[in-house]
Amino acid sequence: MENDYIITTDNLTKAYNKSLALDRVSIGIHKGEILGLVGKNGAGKTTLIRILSGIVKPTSGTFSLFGDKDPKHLPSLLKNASCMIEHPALYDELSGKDNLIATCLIKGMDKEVKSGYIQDRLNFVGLGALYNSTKKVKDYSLGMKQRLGIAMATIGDPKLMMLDEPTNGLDPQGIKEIRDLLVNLNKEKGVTILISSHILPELSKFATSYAFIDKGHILKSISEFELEKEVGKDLMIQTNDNAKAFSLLSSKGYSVTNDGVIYIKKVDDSAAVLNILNTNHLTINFFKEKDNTLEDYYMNLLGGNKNV
Amino acid sequence: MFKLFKSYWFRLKRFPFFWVAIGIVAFVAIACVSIATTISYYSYTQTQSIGEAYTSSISLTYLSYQFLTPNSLVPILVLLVIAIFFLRDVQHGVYRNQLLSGFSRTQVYLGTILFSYFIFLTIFAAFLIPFYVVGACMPRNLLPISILDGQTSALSYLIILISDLALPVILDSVILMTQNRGASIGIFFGIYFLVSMIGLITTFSSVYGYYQLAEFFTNYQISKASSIVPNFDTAIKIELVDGVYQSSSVTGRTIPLILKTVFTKVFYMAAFGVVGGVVYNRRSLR
Repeated sequence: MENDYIITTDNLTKAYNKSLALDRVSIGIHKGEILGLVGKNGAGKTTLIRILSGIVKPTSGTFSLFGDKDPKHLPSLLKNASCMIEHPALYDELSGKDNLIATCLIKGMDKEVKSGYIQDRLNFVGLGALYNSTKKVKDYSLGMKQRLGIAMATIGDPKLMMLDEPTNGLDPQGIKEIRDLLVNLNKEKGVTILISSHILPELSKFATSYAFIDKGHILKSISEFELEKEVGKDLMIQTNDNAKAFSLLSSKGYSVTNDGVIYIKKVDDSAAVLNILNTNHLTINFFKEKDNTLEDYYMNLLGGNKNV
Repeated sequence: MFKLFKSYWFRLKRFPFFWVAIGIVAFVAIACVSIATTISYYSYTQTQSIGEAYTSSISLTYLSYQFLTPNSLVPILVLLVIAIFFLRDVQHGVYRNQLLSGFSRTQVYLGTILFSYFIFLTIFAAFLIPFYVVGACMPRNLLPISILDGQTSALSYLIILISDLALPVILDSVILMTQNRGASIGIFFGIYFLVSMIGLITTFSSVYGYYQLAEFFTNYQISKASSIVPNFDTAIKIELVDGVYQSSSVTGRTIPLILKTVFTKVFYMAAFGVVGGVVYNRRSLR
């Protein structure tokens, strides 16, 4: 299983002057995973991606890419990866097409420049109409720049993509399209994706695992399956005898409050709750299920009202 | 590294200021030769009218020196092209694209310096080719190729080129060390100004102007190289004798001057190149 990891970090620490941007971060990302890195501004998400992409050197700790820990091998390992950090690193004075050509040339993909590859990449991100346009990137909208950045990140068929807030500035349709693109790359080409995002409902639609980070610490790493199990559902019930219902459910180990309405937190199986009430001859007057979200889970993890 | 160059060249071709610089130097080269020939022709007709033999006091090589020395048009345009081309990348945070494409920091650093030399040589060629092509078409008696012997001309070019070659290395190392547009420009021109000022002081000040020290500085070397008849073999020694400054000629200065020229420029290139490389390898990037 150890060899299955595309990224591992071991006590990765980054200090700027006296403040710690990352504090002994240890995570692992399996091959084919889409790991959502969740944290508020300044939590250390970008710093982690910057270290993994070789732009920033860690103060201490180590990391491996594709199973290789040797920092000297990082440049050659990065040939199989692509990154988009904070904002797409675009050549503002060139057109979108020329940006892709320049990227192909750096990667030694001269033949692709002459084939339909560039048109294909532009089509891939919905910018195909710009193939013959001389409009410079500096005149693009933020959403167009994000799309072009993703197109650049897919050049060379990377096995790993590290994306920092890739949907920033996109409209809802654009966000969905980028999500579909990433899911497509993951499913069809097996691309492992490390993605940080503030938009948790969006992230929850395609991430297969999560790492929650705050003040440079990894609070928790959890798979999609484990998360679903942990977040469960909340139930709101009103019976003909709320006091009895409260005592029954409490005795069965449920986290229950009674405030005119019985409120049961993190329920895996609603049917089991209803069964307990029915077998004890309680009449249910009101019943409502509320699905917990990634956002709720994150808020609970942080311990309250903190902004993502 | 070749891939890096291909990508740089692809972008340089689309960089308007590069072509503007090429156009300016080519225009200046042709205009300079044409004007110099016209002036020579005017002198020639005047000399002929009084029945004297005409000898041109300027030559193509001498004229070219005036545009190639570190403080003159061509190197300054080269530095501007290099500075704008690379500082734009730093400012937009796209320098990291090279690293993310699998190049080591050392490769990116060396690639930047070598590509700067490519820009340097291209713009120099854009000046020298039309300069000598048009110059060769002019009457030789009005504008000779050189009024010096070949060895002295070559020596002058060597001194000027070596002096120029240090500049891109200093500029690139400052850009990559600071990763900041304002700081790069401030530091580079601060160094440029400081070295020029020390050179001027040591060259012209009667107190500190002993030739041995002055020979380390560009101003002295260039003033020797770009004079109409460079006399590399002689230096003026200024001494305080009985409270009075006295000057005397010292011969046998050609070899020490060349060695000092090469040494100081190699020193600048090595010092900035190595320090820049070490800092760039260790620092966090934009």
